[in-house]
Amino acid sequence: MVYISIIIGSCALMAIPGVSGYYSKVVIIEVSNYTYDFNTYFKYYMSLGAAFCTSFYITKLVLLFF
Amino acid sequence: MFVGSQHVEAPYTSIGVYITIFYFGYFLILIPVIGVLENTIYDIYYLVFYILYSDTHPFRPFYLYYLIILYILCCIKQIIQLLSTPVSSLLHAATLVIAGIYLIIRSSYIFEFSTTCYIYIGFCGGNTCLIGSVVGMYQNDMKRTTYSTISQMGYLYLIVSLSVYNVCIYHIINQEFFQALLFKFYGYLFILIMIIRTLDSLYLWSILVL
Repeated sequence: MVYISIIIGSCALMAIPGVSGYYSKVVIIEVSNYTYDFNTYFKYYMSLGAAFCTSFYITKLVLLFF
Repeated sequence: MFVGSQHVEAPYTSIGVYITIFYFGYFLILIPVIGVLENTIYDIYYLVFYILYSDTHPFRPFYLYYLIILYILCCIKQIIQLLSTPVSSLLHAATLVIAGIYLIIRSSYIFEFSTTCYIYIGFCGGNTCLIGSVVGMYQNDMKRTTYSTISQMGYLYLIVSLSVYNVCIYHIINQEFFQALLFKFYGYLFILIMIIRTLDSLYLWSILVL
């Protein structure tokens, strides 16, 4: 029970396709990519880097838990 | 020998008294007074802001930029105040942390007048989501790995700065649900394995089991 719930929550946090976190986070990253403005060029890389770091430490946590 | 053996003389005794008074007054008087002042000033500022902009056609004075910057500070202050305790993060994931971003979305028709403020919000949001996740990578305590909330708040501010409000509300709802799920079951795990709190001991434990 705990295992399944934490796996689902971590998948949502990692934005794996099919879970609810995917559909909003991908839209955020895409919008920050496709909006052409003089101040938005760094937001795409920031959101990508944040997504990478989040998935990294959540994976580490899940692997250490179980 | 000479320096240590002499009596304490006139200026140094009074300096010592003043420093002692400051040392205790700082914790007992100054910090509570500053906290109360901050809260009341921010509340008064909310009132002033909404009285100025309560009509449906907001005017655009030259000091609008400074007004909105102060308003953003009020909204960010909500996060800083409320994220400071990772203990009750279940409540924070759902309702309290969202207060600042909700204020920005509600008053977005004022924010649209000033693009400079959106640059400011976008800078804050991008830095917050990046730094929140990078700090979360290096946290050793399991309870501190809920830095993902800060990262999610950064995402929200970033998407608000691009003036895409529907995506922001959608992400708020998603984020509430899965973070509440995660925090609840983290708490359940803490009760199950109360001894193992830090990730170092988790490494050791997994090595022993395997």
